[in-house]
Amino acid sequence: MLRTYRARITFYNALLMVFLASILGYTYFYSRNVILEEAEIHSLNLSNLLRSNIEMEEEKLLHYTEVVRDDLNIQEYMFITTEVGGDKQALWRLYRRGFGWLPVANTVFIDNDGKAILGEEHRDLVQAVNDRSDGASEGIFYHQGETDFELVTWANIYYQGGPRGIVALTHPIDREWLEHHHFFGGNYLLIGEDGRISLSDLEGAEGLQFQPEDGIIRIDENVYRVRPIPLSGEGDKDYRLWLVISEQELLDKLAHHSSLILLLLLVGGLAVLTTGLLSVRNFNRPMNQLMQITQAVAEGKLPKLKKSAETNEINALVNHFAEMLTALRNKQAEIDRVHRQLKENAITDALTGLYNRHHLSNLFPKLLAQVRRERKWLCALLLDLDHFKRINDEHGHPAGDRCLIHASELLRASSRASDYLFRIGGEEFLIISISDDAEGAMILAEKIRRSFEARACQVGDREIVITASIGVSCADDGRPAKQAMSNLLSQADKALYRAKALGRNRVVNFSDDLTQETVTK
Amino acid sequence: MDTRGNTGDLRATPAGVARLALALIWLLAMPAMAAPADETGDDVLRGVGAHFAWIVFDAIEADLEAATGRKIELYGKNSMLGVGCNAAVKLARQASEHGDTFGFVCCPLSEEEVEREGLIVHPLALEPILILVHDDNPIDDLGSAQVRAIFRGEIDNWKQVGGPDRPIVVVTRLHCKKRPGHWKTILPSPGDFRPTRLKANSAAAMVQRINDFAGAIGHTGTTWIFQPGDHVKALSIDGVKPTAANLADGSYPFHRQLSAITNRTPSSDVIKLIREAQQGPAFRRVAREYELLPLNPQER
Repeated sequence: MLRTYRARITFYNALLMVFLASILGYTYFYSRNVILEEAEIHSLNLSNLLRSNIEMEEEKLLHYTEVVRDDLNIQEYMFITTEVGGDKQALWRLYRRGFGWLPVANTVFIDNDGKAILGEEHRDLVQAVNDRSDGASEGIFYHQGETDFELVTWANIYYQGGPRGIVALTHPIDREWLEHHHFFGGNYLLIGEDGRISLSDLEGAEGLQFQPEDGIIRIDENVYRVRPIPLSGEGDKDYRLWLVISEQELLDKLAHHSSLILLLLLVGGLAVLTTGLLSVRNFNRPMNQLMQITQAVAEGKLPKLKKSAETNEINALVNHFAEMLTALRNKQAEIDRVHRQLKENAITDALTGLYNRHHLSNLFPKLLAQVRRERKWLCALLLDLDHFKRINDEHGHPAGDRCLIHASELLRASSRASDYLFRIGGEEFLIISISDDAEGAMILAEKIRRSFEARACQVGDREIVITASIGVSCADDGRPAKQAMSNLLSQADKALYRAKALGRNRVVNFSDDLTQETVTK
Repeated sequence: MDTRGNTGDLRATPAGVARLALALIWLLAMPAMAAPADETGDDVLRGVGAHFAWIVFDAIEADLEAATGRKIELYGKNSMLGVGCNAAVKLARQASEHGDTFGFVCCPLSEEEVEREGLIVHPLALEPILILVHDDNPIDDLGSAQVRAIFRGEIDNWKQVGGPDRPIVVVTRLHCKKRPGHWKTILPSPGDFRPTRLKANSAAAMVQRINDFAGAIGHTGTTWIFQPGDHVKALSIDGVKPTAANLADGSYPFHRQLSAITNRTPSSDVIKLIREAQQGPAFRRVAREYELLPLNPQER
């Protein structure tokens, strides 16, 4: 597990993603709880705000009632109307004249016997006021009228020290009122009465059953949270006005938040994943390169490694490695050069550059196999410079060396590319030539002899004429290579000896018949 | 009697209220204003008092200015904002040689008050007191005894005097209670009036209440200017209409005395003014218009 750095980086990135997801998940659930708690607080604040506004309305209507009650003319007219039996319409005219501007729905005046002086048509209201006015001088309550749910305020009218009746004013709790408070407080309001929704600004809610369970009602599969708003004069369990908050709207808020969090999670995850992949890739590529290079080096190869312009740590390591490979390659080239030199020195003559006798032993089996395979002749042309000792003696060894070099040059110039040239002794050279027949070897030997004859050795301003005696042997009796080489060289040597014996500067071909020889000059 | 004959617009208008407010301020600041007025030779004669007397002075203001050669300023329309008989007494008392003021009252002052305040009463005229009812009321005439019984509360339904079965709503305006007020020709003291009655605090409120209650009965002077929308009418008493002539022969029982009042040393201009008010042709014309009975014997 996690043996490689790549795996570790991948693992670390995975851990980072899990951490990120955990944080965002926690944020989501925390936000969800906060929204729910805030929704509760919001609904509580809204209901308190609405309650406060409604109280202000109640106080305002009560104040209107008190203004009517405290009007001396009203008091006097009430007195005259109730005590003298004066015309009720006089009271009405006075009220209209003085208070007709009041923004109220209904007005009733009730005498001390509970009978309506004005507003007889509002029997329910008169009855409700009578029911609630015992022992108090004024009050506020809510009443379901014939058409509307109403806010009712009432006050006793006194004159000359005694009660003369009651004035009551109403304000409708109608759709306009609900919409006004909806606008003010947001969400919805409803009036619940006798287990049904009698009025609401929530579309489609009116007339439906209203039986909240744990503060929840359901309308058309939508869930709504409801909170009672106490009204003056209500009992603890007789709430009629309810604040309605759509749970769907809350969920929409949550959905909005969750979408945002999911988007953050996705973006964050992609960022971490991309970062991880880039990290792995940035780490993996140079590591793989180094691995391949080291593997090649282990196999004895020294491949070229391109240096990078980047300066991070891994690239610096790669660059150092490339420099090391370059140094190794240079060293290897030096070694190869020296090796080749050593090898060349081992098979060539230092003075003339021709192959030495040692190399003949290595080369001969291959050449023999080739001519046997190609059914050709392997011919040995053994060449000895005539009277070379005399050159050394007369012109000195440097001149002799120079003439040896001259001889090798003549051999190179006269032979074919497929011929092999050896210096096998002091002034003795060997040409191994593959030929279709012995005649070709003889022609080559004669060509060489004539080149010596034609071109003198130039030593300083002197020309030293050198001649060469050549013994030629082209024979293959099927012996093993070692014996065959020895036999071939022996025959060539015999032919050379014969050429020497015949006066030098000539070519002698050896035949199977030791007595048969071809001599050319 | 047609009580709607005079249609002059003397109702309380915003401009009128503003003028009254200025008058009140001026009245309250009178002591402080008097000295500078004297020093600067203030040429204005100022009069303050009750509405019903104000009607007379206001109607003859041009003649008064011509008679005195001085500008006249009058305050008291509708007797509102505290400008009434009491203000008249106060202003009359504060008159000085260089700050000519006078008052006018709608009811006679007691000798005690005249003595205490150092005043001189200059009677102008007697004004008939109208007994008013709603014009839906079929009753057009009552006996003076019936009127008094109604105001006492002894008669509380119109059917008792031949009218419909309708409760009687008594409306009173018993101002100047410490003086021999005009209402005292109806009943001598407030306690004599029916307790269960409407108490108007102004002549306008009186008329309004009678407008409101079909069964109402009230009282006001002939100088009150009714409005076209008013649903009130004046009754004849014992078959006698409220006219100056009927006052003069004593057949009409309810009346009051309109007077001017000054301090004990009124200026010559003030004396001229009052003499013009008592005897001038303009006053006689106004008296005829409002059925006033001038109290200067020479002018009868």
